[in-house]
Formats: sequence, structure tokens, C-alpha cells
Amino acid sequence: MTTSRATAQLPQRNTMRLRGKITTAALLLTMVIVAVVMLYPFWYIVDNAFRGQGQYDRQSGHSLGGWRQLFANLPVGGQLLNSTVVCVAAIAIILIVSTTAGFAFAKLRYRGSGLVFLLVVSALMVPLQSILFPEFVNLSNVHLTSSYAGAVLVYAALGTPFATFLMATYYRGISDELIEAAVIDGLGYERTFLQIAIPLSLPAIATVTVLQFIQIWDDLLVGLFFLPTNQRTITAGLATLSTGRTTSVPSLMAGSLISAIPAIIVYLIFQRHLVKGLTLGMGK
Amino acid sequence: MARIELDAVTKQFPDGTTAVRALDLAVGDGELLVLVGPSGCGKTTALRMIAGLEEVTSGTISIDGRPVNDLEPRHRDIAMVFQSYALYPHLSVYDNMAFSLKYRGGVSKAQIRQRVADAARILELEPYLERKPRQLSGGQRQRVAMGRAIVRQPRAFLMDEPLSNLDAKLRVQMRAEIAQLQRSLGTTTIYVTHDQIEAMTLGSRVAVISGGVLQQVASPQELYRRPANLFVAGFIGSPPMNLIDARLERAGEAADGAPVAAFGPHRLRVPQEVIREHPALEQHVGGDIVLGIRPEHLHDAALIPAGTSWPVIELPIRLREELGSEVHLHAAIGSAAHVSEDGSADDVRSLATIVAKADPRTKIAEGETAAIAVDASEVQFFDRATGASIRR
Amino acid sequence: MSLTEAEAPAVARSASRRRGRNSSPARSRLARRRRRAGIVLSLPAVALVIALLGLPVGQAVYYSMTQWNGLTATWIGPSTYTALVKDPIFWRVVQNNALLLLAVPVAIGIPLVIAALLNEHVRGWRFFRSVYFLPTAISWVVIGMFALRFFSATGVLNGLLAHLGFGASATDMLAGEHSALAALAITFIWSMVGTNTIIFLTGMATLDPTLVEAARVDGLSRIGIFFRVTLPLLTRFIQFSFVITVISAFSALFSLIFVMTSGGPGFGTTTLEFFIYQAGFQQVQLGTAALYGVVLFVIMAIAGLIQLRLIKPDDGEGW
Repeated sequence: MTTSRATAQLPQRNTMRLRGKITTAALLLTMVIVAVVMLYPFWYIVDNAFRGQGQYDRQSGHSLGGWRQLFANLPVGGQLLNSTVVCVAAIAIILIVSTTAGFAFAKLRYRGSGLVFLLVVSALMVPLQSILFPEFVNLSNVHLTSSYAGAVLVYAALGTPFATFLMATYYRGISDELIEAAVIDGLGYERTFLQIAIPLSLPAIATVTVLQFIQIWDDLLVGLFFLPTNQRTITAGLATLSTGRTTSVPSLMAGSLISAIPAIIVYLIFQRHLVKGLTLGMGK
Repeated sequence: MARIELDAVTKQFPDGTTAVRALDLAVGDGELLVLVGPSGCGKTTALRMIAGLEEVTSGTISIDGRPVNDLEPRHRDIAMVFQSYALYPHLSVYDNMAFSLKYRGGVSKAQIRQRVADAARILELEPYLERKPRQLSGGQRQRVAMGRAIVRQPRAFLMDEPLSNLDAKLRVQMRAEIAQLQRSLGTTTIYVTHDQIEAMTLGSRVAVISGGVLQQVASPQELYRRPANLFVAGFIGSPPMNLIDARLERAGEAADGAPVAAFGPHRLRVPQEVIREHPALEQHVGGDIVLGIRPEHLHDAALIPAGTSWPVIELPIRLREELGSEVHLHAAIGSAAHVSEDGSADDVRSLATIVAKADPRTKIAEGETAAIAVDASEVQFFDRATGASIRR
Repeated sequence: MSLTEAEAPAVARSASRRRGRNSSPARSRLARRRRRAGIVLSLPAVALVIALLGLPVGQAVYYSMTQWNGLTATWIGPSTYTALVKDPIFWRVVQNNALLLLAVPVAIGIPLVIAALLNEHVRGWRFFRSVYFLPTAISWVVIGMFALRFFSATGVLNGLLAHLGFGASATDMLAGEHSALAALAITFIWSMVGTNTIIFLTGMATLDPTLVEAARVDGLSRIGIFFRVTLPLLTRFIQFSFVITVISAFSALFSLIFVMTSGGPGFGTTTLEFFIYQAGFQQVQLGTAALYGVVLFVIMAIAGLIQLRLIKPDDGEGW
């Protein structure tokens, strides 16, 4: 009985399947097209980074010409090191400052702490450009612009509001009873923070680290302004190279590649944290 | 109004789990059929396949004789009430109910207003038409979900545990309202629940499902009095039927040579009328069976009407629970506990207890050994190996 | 402080009633320690923010009303603002910002569609999600490097057009004022796709799937469901994305402009943030730069306030 019914409806089953298959194929095709659009610039950069100037003009052939010119015109190694130093220092400050403050705002409420929290988080909307020049004058007056220090402080200040918001949100999710248990056991609030809150918030710390690393590594304005020329970041170095008198496009492509790779690697490894950081900002 | 038929319907998920196995079901025009079973038994999956929200792996689902396996949900002309109500939070109650009518087409604005008004009146939602779902109580939201289904005037209603999220009192009230509503509308309805009391009170027929397999489909009375297997026996009825592992023996000294069910130190004589009704019992003499005795069929021997010749056994009473209208006596039967096929809770203890629902006037106390009378005509017998009921 | 056993509880109870719940005499010492810890732990962040963010804002407001070259500041007064309103170049720059705003709906609409596609969970969708989000890890400088070569007269775009047979319409987009701004806008949209797609994808993941199922049973087509159920339920996410996109358009494009066009041709791609840089760095008119900076800050503050209100919705939109 089943077989005869099955064959009777076979044509209908096939058409529905086909429609399903067509939609899936169309979806995949569209997604591939979008992926191509998203990835093409990378391809272009990689492709042309491995060319000499002549090869670039002709758009054929590959060599290390671009790289040779890049290293000739830019202290690449040194600038990479500068980027790293600045990133590490700024992130360290941000983490220290935002975890402590985040914990305080989330768990150690005091009179007016809500307002202070709002103040810190609302500093998010201060665009660097608005405070650029007063900031520079301030920092150069205390001689912090002749070393990493000035830039590091500015990066730290720029990253603190969002990082504090993120950490506070995360700490709010930890149950109060956990803290109270530690206090009853005799730990002071500061020790409780160090020994209980921090280990529990490692995921959030990772998120902040990843987010800030990409932001700072890729930043131009602070690096351009607040660092002395010989301590430039790779991003700033690349930008000045491109607006300078170099006409070697491959060298610029090579520079782009080398400055982009660290951030891309961090992204690929810590994608999930990036996404979480972004979506946490939307609140529940 | 529609007939719905499931013919050997099977659902296998991509990860290999088979949720529904060769389900055969026929729902008559205007009938309210309840699918009942423990969580994860496949009843919701079956309902979703009927709705078109899950693909059928094999088998056929037909509505009014027409196979609908490949038909999209919106072309099947059925309305569904979800467990979580699925109300659109950004729309008012009125808009929620009018939603499908507006975008399905074919219904004029005046007709929409009329239908929503009628449904709102029946469900007593008129004062809430302009409110948003988050401003309503659980019971009100449930009614809006029903209203959304009613205005569609579909061929069939599919209800997926619509009362599970309500508190007990509201559930009892809504149960009655749903039953009345279905009767007055006369729309074919398939109702899914895990609550066997709901199933028994609502359905004209109830389909018991376990592990994706249909155990039995029958009227509530039939399920209660003649369960087809151990699962149905243990699932229907509260407190659940006592299941006792026993051996069917031929008692040497009994005058009529009647078989005796032996468990622990007890020998329960099987009366002649019972044997006449269950001729197949003869073949099981000498073998292992499972006795099924409902708590309501175990009585304080001191209180049974004079002249009844029910067999009596002596049982030590471990616990007496006072429920006001009835008394539950937990008695030890002195033999190993029955292990159900899904290895559920019974097998935690090694010695079995059975429950007797005694007349509240009983004077039996904890710790004493009491005489318990067994209404032998209501005793069920099951083949221990297959779990199937021993009938004919 | 010695009380009999009978009196102590009564005193404690009335004392705590005065102080509120959870504050018996022993607890108030704890509460004080907690307060102190709170202040100490939040101090570094507050100090950092005030010193390096708050202070310069105040200074910028001050200097906006002066003529300043970095060393000496000559007070002019609020007339700098009135003069600004009459400055045609300033309005030209504001116009650029306004035109950029036109790109925002596109920068939101395209990701919505992409997120809907990804949400279908076709096999491999996670890979595509990674790919689409990748540009967010790239510096604007690098993006600008490519964009420059893409839109120029000998660039990739023209090469593509020639390939497809539209060689005749080859243009040097970076040569015209409006076309350069358009090129900027297109690049901006491209780089916002990743961020907004993730926002919407996350939003769609939080939607109750039974709502979509209910709509399917109720009779709506897939497209109908998208417009009548999915989109309305995503309102908060769309608002959030809108604010983020606008903020980016106004304050994150500096590097892009720096590398791509240097604000040109003419004032074609000079947005307010680049204008600040020009005034301060190239013309060394730091007072003017501060002036523009204050204007930018006010705009950002308004956008930011809107965002803060969205995070704590007071009208309970949605759930």
C-alpha cells in the first residue's frame, strides 16, 4: 500500500526538492560573490606586494622587488617593534585600570558610583580629533612626547571607557554571593578582586585584549602625532610612506601586507572574542 | 474540518537519532486526538511534521486524503498553537490575531474585524485588544495564541503543549475551556501533552507514544482498563499502576487447579472469570509475567462489602499517607522490584513496595501487617519478556 | 557598648531600620571597607579618563574661543562661533559630512541582507562569516592603500569596466570632488559590512524561532516573514548599528582620507575630522582646530547619548 502511494506522489516530491536545491545554490552563489568582494583587496595587495615596479605597471611577473624597496625606505623591523611595544604597554594599562574600575563599579557600589561610571563610559564619545591639539600641548609640556609614554597614555585613555564598560558588565554577571563568601572567609575586597574576580573574568580580559590590540595596532592618528619620528608605529610609517615621495607601489603593498598580518593573525585566532566584545556593547 | 492520516511516518535527524518510528495514525473529521508521552518521546516532532515544520524522512502524511509531505506549512491550511505562544511582541493583541489574515490575503478588512471580534468575545479578550503581549498575564497570552488560531478558521488545529507554562489551577480551568471550544467549533484537533491527566480529560481518543513508537491509541477508558503494554499501564493513571514481577504457577492443592501468581511469599489466586476473559494466560503458566494492579483496586480487607470473594494477601505497611479524600498505603511485597524497560526510577530500590489507595476510614497504621484485598477482576497481566498485555 | 541579651537585638533592629536593610552594626564596618575599596579601585580609571580625556575637552572649549598657535593664545571670545556659522568653507565641510550620511542606510541595508543569507545556515556559513568580518581587523590605512589604487584612473575599477566591455565609462573617480566623496563612501560601506553583519546576525540569533515558525504556519512567504517579522524584531539592533555607523562615518575616516585623497580634490573629501587636522597641522591655527573639534564633539555627544539611551530602553520596545 505504501509503495503505490509513494510512486503516485513522486513527481510532486521531486519538484519540491528541486526548488529547495535551487534556493540553496542561489544562496551559496550570492555568499561566494560577497566573499570575493570582501577578499579581493587582500588578494590585490598580496599579489602586488611581490612585484617590482615594472612588473606592477605591466601587471605580470613576480619578484621581491617591492620588499627590497620597502626595507630600503622604511625601518620596518624597528617600526614593528615600536608597534608591539606601544600595544603591549597600552593594553597593560587598560587591563589594569579597567578590571579594577569595572569590578568597583559592578560590585563595590559607593555613593555616586553610578554617576562616576556613567562619566567614564560616556568618555567613549570623545573623538580624538576634538582633543588632539590640547592633548598634544599638554603632553609635550610634561615631556612625554619624546618617547613612547605619551602615545601609550593616550591609547590607554581612549580604550579605557569601553574596556571598563565591558568588564563592569561581565563582573555584574558574577553572583554577589561569591564575593560575600570570600569576604566572610577573611579576604579584604582588594584581595577578593585579585584572587577571585580576575581568574573568573579571563574571557572578558581576552576580549578586551583582542579588541584593543586591533584598534591600537591599526591606529594612525595617535601614532602620527604623539610619537617621535624614530619611534613610529608601522601603521604611521606606512601612511607617511604613502603620502611621501615614494612612487613604488609594490613597496607600499608590501608595507600594507606586513602591517596587516599581525592584526589578521590575532583576528583569526580570537574571532569569537571579537564578536563577543562587539555584541556585549549592545547590552541584553 | 479535515481528516488527517499518518502512514508509517518516520523521522530521522541528521545526527542519526530516530525521533518517530513508523507512526500510523488516523484522526477523524472533527475529532480531538491527544498525543501523549514522556519528554522526548517524539510527539512534538510528529506534530511538527504534520504542520510542515519538519521534513518527513519516510512515510506519508495526508490531509483529507491528499498527501502533503512536500507542501509548505502555509499551504496546508492548519493553525498551530505553540507552547511558548509565539506572540509577536511588537504587535498589539488585535494585530497579533489579525496578522495572518492580513498577510495571507483573501479576507476583507471588514471580515478581519468581524472574525477578531468574534474570537475576542469567545475568549474574553475584548478589554485587551490594544495591549501588547508583555502587558498580559500567562493565561491571557495563552488565549491570544488560541485566538490567533481560531480566526484563521483552518481545517485543523495543532496544539503543542499549550498549557504547560501555566500554573496548575489555570491549567485545569483552561483545559475545560479548550475542550468546550473544540466541541463548539468542531474543528479537527491534534493536541500534544506530556500530562496524562490532560490527555485523559481532553481527548476523545488518546495516542500514547514512547521512544518514537506508538504504544496504543484508544479511548481514555480503554487505555485505563485495557492497556496494551507495560508502558501504557505504567503511564496512565495516578498514582501509577503497581507493576509486580511474578511467576504464574499451577497451585497443586487448589480445588479447581487454577493458576496462581507467585511473588515473594505471596500466592495470588487467579479467579475463574479472569481466566475465562484471558484465555491466553494458560500458555504462560510456568513462566514469568508482570502483574499490574492499580492502587484503587487494592482495598482494606476489613472495609470491603460483605460477600465479596476477593483474594486477600497479608502485607507489612511501611508508610501511610493522608490525602484527606483518600489514604495511600505503601506496602512491602517482599520480592525484587520490577525493572521497567527504560531503566527508570523503580530499580533504585531492590525491594519493591506497592501502593494501595484505601478508603479514608481505614484504620490500618504504619508498621502493622494488614490484610489487603485485591479486586482480581481488574488485575492486568503482562508478558515479562515482551511487555505486551496478555489478553487472548 | 554593653547591652543585655534582651536589649541588643532590639537596638540592633531599630538601628538597622534607620540605616536600611542589611546594615547591622557589624555590617556597617564592612560597608565602609567596601566603599573605600570601591573608591580606590575605580580611581585609576577615573584619573586617567579625566586627565587625558576630560581635561583636553575643557581646554578645547577654551581654546576654541582664542587664536592659538600652540605657544600663545589670544582671547577672542564666543564670536569665533558666530564667525564659524558665516564661514562658507565650514558649511562646505559640513555638507560633505551630510552627504556621507547618505551612505549610512546602504551600510546598514546590505549587511541586513547578508546577515539574512548567513542566518539560513547553509553549510559553511561560519566560514563566510569569518571572511566577511575579516576587514574589521584591517587598518584604515591599508584599506586606503587599496582604495586609492582601485578608484584611480589606471586603477582596478576601470580595468574591471574595460573587461566587462564598459571601457568607455572609465573614470578617475578621485579627480572629481563629488566622485571622490563617492569613492570614499563606497570604501566606507565596504568596511562597515563586517561589523554590521555581525550585529544583525547576533540579533537574528536571539530571535525566538517559534515566531518565525508561527509566521510560516500562518501563511507568510519567506520574504514576507523577513519584512513583517524579522525586521520589526531587529529594530533595536538596527538602531544600535545606525549609531555605530554614524559615529564611524564622522570620526573614523581620518586615516582613509589621509591616505586616499588628503581631503581633496579641493574640499571634496574634507570631512570635519580631517578639517580639524588641516587647520591645526597645516595652517597651525590651533584655536580654529579646537573650534572645529568642539563642534565635532557636540555632534558625537548627541549620537552617543542616543546610543546610551538605547542600551537602557525606557519605553520597553520589543520585550
